[in-house]
Amino acid sequence: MLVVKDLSTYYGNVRALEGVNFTINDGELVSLIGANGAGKSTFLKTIMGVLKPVHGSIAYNNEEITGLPPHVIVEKGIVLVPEGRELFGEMTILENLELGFFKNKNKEQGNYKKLLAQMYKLFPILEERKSKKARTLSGGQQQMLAIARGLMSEPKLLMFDEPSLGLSPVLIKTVMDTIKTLNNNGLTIILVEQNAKMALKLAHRGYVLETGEIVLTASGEALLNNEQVKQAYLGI
Amino acid sequence: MSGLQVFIQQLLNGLVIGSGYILIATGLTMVFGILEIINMAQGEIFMLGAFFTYALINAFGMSYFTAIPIAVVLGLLLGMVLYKTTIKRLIGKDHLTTLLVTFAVSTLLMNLAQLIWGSTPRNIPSPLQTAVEVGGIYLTWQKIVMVFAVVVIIAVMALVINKTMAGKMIRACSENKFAAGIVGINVNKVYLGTFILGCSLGALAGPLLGPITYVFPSMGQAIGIKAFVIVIVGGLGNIPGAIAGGVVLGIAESLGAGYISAEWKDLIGYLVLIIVLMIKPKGLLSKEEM
Repeated sequence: MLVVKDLSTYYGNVRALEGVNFTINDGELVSLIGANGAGKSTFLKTIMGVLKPVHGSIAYNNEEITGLPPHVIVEKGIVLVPEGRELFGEMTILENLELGFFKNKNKEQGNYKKLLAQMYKLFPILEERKSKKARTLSGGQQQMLAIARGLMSEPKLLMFDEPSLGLSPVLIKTVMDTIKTLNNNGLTIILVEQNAKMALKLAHRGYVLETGEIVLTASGEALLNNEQVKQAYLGI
Repeated sequence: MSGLQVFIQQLLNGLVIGSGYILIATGLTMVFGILEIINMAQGEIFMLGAFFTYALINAFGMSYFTAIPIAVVLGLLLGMVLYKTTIKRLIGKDHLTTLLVTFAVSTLLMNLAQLIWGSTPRNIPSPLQTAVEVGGIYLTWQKIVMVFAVVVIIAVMALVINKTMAGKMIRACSENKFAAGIVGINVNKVYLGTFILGCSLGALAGPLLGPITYVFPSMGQAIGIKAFVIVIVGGLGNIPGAIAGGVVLGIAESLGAGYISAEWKDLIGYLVLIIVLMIKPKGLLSKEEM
């Protein structure tokens, strides 16, 4: 579905990604793990078109999408649930969801209503508080809204950036279960996490990113049992 | 005239001038809220709106009411040209750069107008110059229509911003450009749309205020700076703040002119604004906890 070849991104002269190769197939859940500052968010932002790579290519369903602006990337069916939620805090929950639906290919009111009902079923708290401003939600509720906003466009590839950050263990489990369920229902997912153990347990395959380079890739299970990964990321 | 009548008369005159300030300042504050650019040429857009109307009436024999929408469209097109040639390149640049460049644009437009029309003040012939008297208070239809027009425009804008998808896109961009991009909003289009809307509002103030104040190339200078001050006083990017600031400045100037001296009107206006800023440094309508 997505093939990334030799991708490098710089912040000015500072290297953030160097020669990254990455593939994800239809229906897969792939985790990208790495320490703080390893380039995980940069990787997702480059795919999303928020950052422009200095070289390398990104192909989506055999179509070159390198360097396209974010609104075009969203149109193609790639959606990012960003780190720190990045909601529209002064707008209502319903307005946030409405903006999530903005690039949905099927603009019919019926489809909008159907998706909205799905989101409310998935996260009942969003319906309860739909006319409240998004900033009034708790951290966990905001994460749910961020996921729901992403799903409103009916993406083909959903990318999560640190969805567990700042959440309580109970909420983390809810969010991770949601991600697993979405994947079981056929959605292709890239999961970026600092919590490596959790991310690898969930994933079919994993990549390990270190200072901007992919140093390891294997199935989720193999990475969980890898000595290097154990020492560096699992604290065993 | 009784003391009360004089007071009400000055208050209403202030409201008229204030409504003109509101149009210009609202455009300015919107542009800042989205593009983070202070457009120092906003006063010149107003001036050109007035000159376009003057030219359309005098050179093409149009009626005042036909000339207004065409002048606004010309202002909009001018905004588009400015955006494509200059403003687009200023997005994300530091404020000193944007101030200097838009100041250069302002000087350029003013001198261009001077070249075309000369510096003699012109009059826009408006059919609304007849006066009405209610209880000893005099107002021309021009002033009444102007205030109503501004009220209607502000109401329509509030509706558009709060209820329509375009308005939601504008609010989304003003709040979080990164998030706006990743939900699929074309942020550059919103920049362009906001800028030409801001210019249209400025241009509309021209034909409305023009018949009250005379039209000359440097008329945009003082008013541009006033609009800038109103925007600061109202809180940068804050539309209700700009509306409140416009009314406050208009009334302060008018009362100052009426009770102290017409020559002191600008000083009194600015004094009021300085006092407001001393009490509420983040703007008239800022919330304390912010």
